[in-house]
Amino acid sequence: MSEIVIDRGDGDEVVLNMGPQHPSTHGVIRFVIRTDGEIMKEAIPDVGYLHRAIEHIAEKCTYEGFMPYTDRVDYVCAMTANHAWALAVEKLGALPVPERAEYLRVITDELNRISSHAIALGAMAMDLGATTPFMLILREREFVNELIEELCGARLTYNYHRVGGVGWDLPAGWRDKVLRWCDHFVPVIDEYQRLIAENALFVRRLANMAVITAEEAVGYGLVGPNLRASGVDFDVRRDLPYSVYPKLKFEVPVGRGAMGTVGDAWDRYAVRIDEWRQSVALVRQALDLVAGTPPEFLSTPKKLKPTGEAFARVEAARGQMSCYVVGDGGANAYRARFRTGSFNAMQIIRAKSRGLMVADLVALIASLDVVAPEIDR
Amino acid sequence: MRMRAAFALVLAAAACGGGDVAVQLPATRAPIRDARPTRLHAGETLTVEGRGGPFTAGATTQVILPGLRGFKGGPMILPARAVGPDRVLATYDSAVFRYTGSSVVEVEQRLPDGTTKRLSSDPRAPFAFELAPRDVATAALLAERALPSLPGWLVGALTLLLVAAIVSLPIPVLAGLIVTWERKISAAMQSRIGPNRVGPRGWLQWLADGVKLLLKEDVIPTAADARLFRAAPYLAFLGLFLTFIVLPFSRTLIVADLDVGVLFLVSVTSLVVVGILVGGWASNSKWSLLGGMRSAAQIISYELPASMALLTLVVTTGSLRTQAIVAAQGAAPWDWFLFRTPFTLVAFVIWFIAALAEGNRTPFDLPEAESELVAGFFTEYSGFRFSLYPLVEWVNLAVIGAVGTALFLGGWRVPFVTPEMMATSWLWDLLGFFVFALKDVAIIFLVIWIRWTLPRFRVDQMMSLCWRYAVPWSMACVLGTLAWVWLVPSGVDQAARIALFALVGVGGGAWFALRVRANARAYSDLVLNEKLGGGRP
Repeated sequence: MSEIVIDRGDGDEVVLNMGPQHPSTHGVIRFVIRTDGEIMKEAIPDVGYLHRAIEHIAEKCTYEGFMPYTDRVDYVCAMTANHAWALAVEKLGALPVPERAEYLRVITDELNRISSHAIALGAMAMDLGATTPFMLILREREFVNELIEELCGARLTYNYHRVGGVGWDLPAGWRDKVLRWCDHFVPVIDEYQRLIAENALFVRRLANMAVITAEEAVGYGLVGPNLRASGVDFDVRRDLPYSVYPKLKFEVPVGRGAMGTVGDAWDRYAVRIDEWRQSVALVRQALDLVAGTPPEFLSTPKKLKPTGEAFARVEAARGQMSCYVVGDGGANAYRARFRTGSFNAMQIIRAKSRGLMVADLVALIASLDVVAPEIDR
Repeated sequence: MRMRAAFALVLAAAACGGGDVAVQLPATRAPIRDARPTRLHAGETLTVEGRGGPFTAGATTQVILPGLRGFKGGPMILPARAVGPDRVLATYDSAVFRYTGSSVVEVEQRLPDGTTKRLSSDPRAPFAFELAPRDVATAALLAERALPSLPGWLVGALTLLLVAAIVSLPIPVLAGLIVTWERKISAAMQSRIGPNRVGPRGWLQWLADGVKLLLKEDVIPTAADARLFRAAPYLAFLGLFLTFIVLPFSRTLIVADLDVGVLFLVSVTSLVVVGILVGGWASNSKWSLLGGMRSAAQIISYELPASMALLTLVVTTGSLRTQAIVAAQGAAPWDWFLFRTPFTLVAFVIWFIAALAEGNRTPFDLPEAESELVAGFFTEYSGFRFSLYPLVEWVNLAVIGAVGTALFLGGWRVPFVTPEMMATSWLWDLLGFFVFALKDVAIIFLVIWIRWTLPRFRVDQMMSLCWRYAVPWSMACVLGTLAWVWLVPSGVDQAARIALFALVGVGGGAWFALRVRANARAYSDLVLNEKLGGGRP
């Protein structure tokens, strides 16, 4: 835990301790806030309350055995963490992956992205005081959970991807169910938009609030939807392609400043809404293509003792998730390291919080879609 | 006449005085000069003033009000006695609340020599007699009559205590039912089930929650100001409870129809802010203090537009009494103050917004914003003391509904039934109460609906809404209403009511219904169970 030095300033300031247990810090995060009444001088994030030494655990168990732990790197979007680890180890061992497994990975990644954004957008509305959108969209997340549960038996920490493939093939009838759900979900996006997106109160709270310019976004190392909301057109799936993404057609939504300035909190909301649509399109295409692939879905070698180092990155729900792994010829990794979107997003909060109101801090955190376990690992 | 009443009313309101406007009699030689009070209140004394000593002391005397019509037909005859050459005192009995109308006042005296003398007030200027309900004063009087052996003050005090108990005991039940209802509504809005375990269909959930809170430990933080910390919830509760005194639930179901009713209403609700602020401060927690400060700023700010909005009604009615404001509205919707003039319509909207703000309801729930301030001013409270704050919040819902119903939506008036007719049977009264409750519940539903739909304002936005929009608009409403009462002829006034009702009431309602239907059709395929087969994909 970092040492936080607080300048008490003149006598008008109050130092507020927000967290580690607070309803809207989205997990165990602490903010030290210097306020003058309702206006914040500064909010200093203090991370580290949720550190579980996951990267150290990677050195203590086998490459395959570490897969369930990657679920805990980001339990809101566990599939992409699975994918990052699998990708890095496959690169390290130069392992082939069956085509069917690649499609299944894409399908599960995108389904998980949808459910993760559901949490992000619902929590955003809830932090602004509207509880109904959260419950409404949690219903949709529930359907995704049910679908993935049928596929791999788990609802949150999936442990579905494997080094060299995926754990299970499609269950009978699953493909049709997902397609039916896609048909159902697209109008839900519109309904959700009508429910909250253009609500005058919602727009007033978010538009022109905590604007992050493209330069700042790049400078602070923002990734994923937060980066794209600032107008930077970068998506790992398209620009540094992995898996079968080059074979699929999709657009990369960027912030347009529809309600205010490019890069404001409303844009960060809108980008995630648009990503829902793209994810649905990706799931549909992948479901079409997966039908024509050979039935093989897993090709893990009996002996996996690679040497060297590998770096892989995937586009997770909270942006680029990188995984770096070093092997020394043993059954365990010599060193593993994850770099995650939420950790990067935390550092801009201090700069952006100056001059905001206390209520805005909550909206800022929510708009950056910070998830505590992903920060600390 | 209207103009004069309105003007006098503004003066009366400014002086915090009663709503009864003294009307100057024209110069006359009639032997009876004055009679008051003209509000017929059971057991009260009617003082008749003569001119030039017309009365004979010691004669058998009665006061006759030939113009009044009660349910058995007029005229009303009151037993009286002459206490001097210029003064006769008569007593209204408990049946007088059936009489209403305007009448000359006559005094009939049977002199010892067998002749009868009949004196009258000026027939050109009859006195307007109005009804007073059976309120707590009536109850005290009846009790005093029934128990002549006990001292009067004791009977009065006991009656007050009894009335207080009768009024206050249903309040927790009321709050509990509203809480359960709100939870059910929100569950329906959010695809959830809601409370369904305790009691029939979960309707006793509030009882279980209340008992649980009663049994919990009452934690008082070490650094808190213990005495204020203990007292604060009761202050908030007191402020809300007092409003029940002037709420006219039916023609007779009112604790006391105070002459300063609306003023009383506005004043005692500000006690709630004291309770909240003291609670927030005494907790000695920064979150609580922030919540308390927010609440103080919010409630004090929004009291201004709320009072202004109510003043438009006072200006139109000529009285601060809640029953007089109910009486000034008709039973039909176009005679409600909601549609009376464009200004009262705007005043209703402003009042409603301000009521949401004063009641800490979404989108104005900043003082207890759980995503920002944990629980706001009652973060540190636990157990039963904690439960008092939500109790206040939910009872306040009923109060908002009741105030809106009484002052804007015609109160207990049943369409097509005159107040005189309603006085003929207690069953009419009961029906009136149900009509009142129905409107109250409709407003409560509206508030709950808004809460589960909208996000929350930010502090500065909330303040600017009040001071930049609500306050100027409410002032414009008062001035506009004054001008309307002054200038607009009654034919136009009548037409405007009907037009407003048709436009806003019928038109707005129809537009809303059509939108609901369109939305229901557009998203009908979202009925998941059928589409996805058995509810699960």
